[in-house]
Amino acid sequence: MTALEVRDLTKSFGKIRALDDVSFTVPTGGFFTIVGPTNAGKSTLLKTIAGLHEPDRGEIIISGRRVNGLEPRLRRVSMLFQNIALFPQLSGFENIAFSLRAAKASESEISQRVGWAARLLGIEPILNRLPRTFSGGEQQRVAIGRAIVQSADLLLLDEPLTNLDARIRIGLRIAFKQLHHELGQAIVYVTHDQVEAMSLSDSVGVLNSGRFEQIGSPDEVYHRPATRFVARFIGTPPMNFIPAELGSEKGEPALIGKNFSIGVPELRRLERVPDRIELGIRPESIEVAPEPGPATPFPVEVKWIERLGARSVVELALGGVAVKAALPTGQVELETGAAWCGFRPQSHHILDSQTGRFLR
Amino acid sequence: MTARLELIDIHKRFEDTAAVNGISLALAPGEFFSLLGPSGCGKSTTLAMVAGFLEPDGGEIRVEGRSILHLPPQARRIGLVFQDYAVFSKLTVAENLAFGLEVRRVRRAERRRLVHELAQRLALTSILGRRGGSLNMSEMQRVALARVLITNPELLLLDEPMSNLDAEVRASLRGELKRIQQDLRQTVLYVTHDQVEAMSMSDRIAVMREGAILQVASPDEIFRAPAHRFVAEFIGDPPINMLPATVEGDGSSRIARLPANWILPLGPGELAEGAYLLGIRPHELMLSAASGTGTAAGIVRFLENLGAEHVLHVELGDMLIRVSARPGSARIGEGVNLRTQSWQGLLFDARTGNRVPVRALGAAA
Amino acid sequence: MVRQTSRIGLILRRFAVAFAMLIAFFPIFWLISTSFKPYDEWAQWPPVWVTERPTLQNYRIVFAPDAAREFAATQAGSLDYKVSGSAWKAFGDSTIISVSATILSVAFGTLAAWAMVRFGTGGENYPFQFLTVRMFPPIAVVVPMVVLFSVLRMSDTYLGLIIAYTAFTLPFSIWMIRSFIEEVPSELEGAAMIGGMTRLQAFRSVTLPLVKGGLLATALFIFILNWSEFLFALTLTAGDVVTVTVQVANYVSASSGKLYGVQAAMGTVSTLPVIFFGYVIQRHLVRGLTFGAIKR
Repeated sequence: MTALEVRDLTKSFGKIRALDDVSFTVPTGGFFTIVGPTNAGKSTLLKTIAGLHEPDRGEIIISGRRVNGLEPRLRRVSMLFQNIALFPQLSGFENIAFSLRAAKASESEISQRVGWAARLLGIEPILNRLPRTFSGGEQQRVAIGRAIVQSADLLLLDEPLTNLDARIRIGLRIAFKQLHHELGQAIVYVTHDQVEAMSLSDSVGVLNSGRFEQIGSPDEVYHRPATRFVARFIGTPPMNFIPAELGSEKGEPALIGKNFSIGVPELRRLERVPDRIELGIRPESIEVAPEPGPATPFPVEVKWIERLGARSVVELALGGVAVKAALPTGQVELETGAAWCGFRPQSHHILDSQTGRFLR
Repeated sequence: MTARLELIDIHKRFEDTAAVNGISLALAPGEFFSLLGPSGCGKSTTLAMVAGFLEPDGGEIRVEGRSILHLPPQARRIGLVFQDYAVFSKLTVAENLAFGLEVRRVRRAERRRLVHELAQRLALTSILGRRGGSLNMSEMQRVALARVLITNPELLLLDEPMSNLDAEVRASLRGELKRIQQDLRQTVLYVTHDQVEAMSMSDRIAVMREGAILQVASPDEIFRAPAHRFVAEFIGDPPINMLPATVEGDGSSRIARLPANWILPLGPGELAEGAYLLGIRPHELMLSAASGTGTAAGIVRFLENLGAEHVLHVELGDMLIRVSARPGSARIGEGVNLRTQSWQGLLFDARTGNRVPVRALGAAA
Repeated sequence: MVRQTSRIGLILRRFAVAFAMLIAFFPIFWLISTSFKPYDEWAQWPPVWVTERPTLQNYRIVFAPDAAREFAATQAGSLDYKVSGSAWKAFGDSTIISVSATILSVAFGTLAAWAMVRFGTGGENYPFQFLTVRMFPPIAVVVPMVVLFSVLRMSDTYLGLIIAYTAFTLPFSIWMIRSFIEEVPSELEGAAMIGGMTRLQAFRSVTLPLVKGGLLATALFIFILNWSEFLFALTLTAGDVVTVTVQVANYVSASSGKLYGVQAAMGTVSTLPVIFFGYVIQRHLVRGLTFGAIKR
């Protein structure tokens, strides 16, 4: 049984195509995250699923029921809006109780359900106040409360952590995971922050200009990105791309670039080699040392060191190409100037420059 | 242009709350200085007083040793960069740059010379004819900086300029901003709630809370030796674990009793017995194959997959402890043993939250 | 902000404000002052600023024309107080027409504005196109209107004027109400719909209460327009229906020309409903009701 199935969804606003043949499924109890840059169509997708936009084409199936054309209130979804959208004239309690009142629930059930959500979210003291007295974090939590007390098959969350202080954001991130654990409800979560996407979900869809570039588990999109876009969007700092040519070294195929070469025995099986290829390498997979060694055979120049506490991001020039490496702080003492680098074994990716897709 | 900025015992009240409560700072010429703290800590109020939009109730603000308090904002020779950079989208880049000069009635020939000079330094020459609306974020940032720098301010103020931008864009703008600042040796006062921005760009950081400064230090020192538990908890992602600890010992050797019967030998050192808070960063913990002294047994409840590493949330007694681990080292529901690894020895007074300096401790752990 | 203004600047500024107020309030002062003057001081030169012989005679003529005629008879002189129509009827007619037309205009305006804001009805430029209707001076359309109304047999009826007023104020109400509805984020209605309401319920119970103040402000504005309208009231009536403005113009005598004092008395009285209406709704004219609803 799937909680949500979206088939070939297309939606245009005037000349702008916001969603272009979008398809995905969320299993019952699943946590699916849609991640992508601003204006990728993320919010449009959520609002279309909720029934606030009518798609031009495609199907939306919630718990086995086709809901196209159905009013939002009949779709059995609840939603947290990006801008929160609390009812300003209603108290915190009444905001949370809104869907229960609309469903004509009994007074005792309402106070019980709202009480449960308020305890879960730690907002009992503010239930009697109006939204204009809430802090940003309180607004957020009341809105979450309103979304979770509603009995729904699907919970839609639109950028719930954006615009909050960084510190509150990190704390609430794990709260969502706990919430999901507790509710067991299927969740579709929208964010532009790849860290949230990676850390929260069972499955991640990377949306770009209204199309999914890749759908997969966090491990898949991180370790086996399908396209250049995914590789650059997932992971900070993003994956490095270094122009290289295919040659051979000691009888084995090798990727040879300016100041480096690595063996790529896996390419022996390849029938057709693309004309232009690039080496893709994650910053975490690069090692840097002040002296040459077996793990660091390639000469580089250290341009810049960004210290971020537990780790440092080092900007290198490898044969004139700007490359970023991420190193645990304190492991090696580096200074700007000449140094040596190497790539961790089996950590490289090979990109076909023409298609923007990975060979490996 | 680069100047020295001093804030001496600044106070500011709004009705019955003290927004800024006696802060003092001194920025060296050419320094990149950040005010870091949560919403409502007084950092933006402080910046507004330096800019001249607010008047302090008490205290003194000096640039190059001269008080600027009596000057209106436009006479303070301060450059202010707005949130999201606010580049005029209908004007070309050149017009954007010349804007501040026109306001100051600089002559046309002089304007053109200054625009071209600065455009060259900030690599804007090739886009001088483009309109503000067509720029990407990196160009936008450079234009916003150039538009302010062209009036040759003694001091550059930035108030959360990146807070509404996508995470990915922010990362690339940080390095660029820092490079421009270093290149021009411009004194910068940067206000942010994002520890990553403060850590990556600043020469020094002041961590603020409730109108007061808790610590002023280099990013490295803020991370390694936070002066207060609030600083320790504010810096670092994933956040530090704060465990209640009871320090006991006989003779000169000390142990820390932690939740779930976890006993951490602290080794010999001068440390009063009693209740403390013990700070361990997630990367200072590791999974251990063996159980026994110095380890704690717990169950993995949640797992945050960050690609290069996994953050495990391990249930220890009634606490969840964050542990940075290599991908694939544990699954949800699995029982694991934790032990410390290169622990920095952060101990905080349980009551005041101040860090307790510990000498010769932690070596054993 | 930093103190910069000098004492002289402050005095000059106060002086300028006082001068502007003097200019703004002088007509009102003159209206009230004239309404208490005896007939020989109405148009005296040099003008009488405040009469030394205040009289309620002008008000008596407005509300009790018979008493007035009696008075005129006892007064020597050429003053002719013969006036057509009754002020009581004028106030009644104006009230019926202005109130009905205001309610209709605001009701239609609200629905139209909601459709334009939420569904983009008519496209992006529709509200502007709507407003251009009001860019024709009314005098340009009044002649065809007279012809049209007489064919439809609506001349000189309440319904006729109500329809004309509604049609002519509708662009204003749409324009004003649109800006109030735009301030209410569409997500609020979306949240109500997902929470179990129909679209119309969501509009009625979420959006409408939030724009209440705006609707009342619009109603006041439209009411003032209707109450003081003269051109249509004059050309689309023939004596069966008489509005206040037309009645004011009726205070003319064959021998003495305009009866300024009587007109001033009627004018003074006719401002009272507007002041009253404004006073009653002022506490509802609060903006920023949506504060706290969305993240900023």
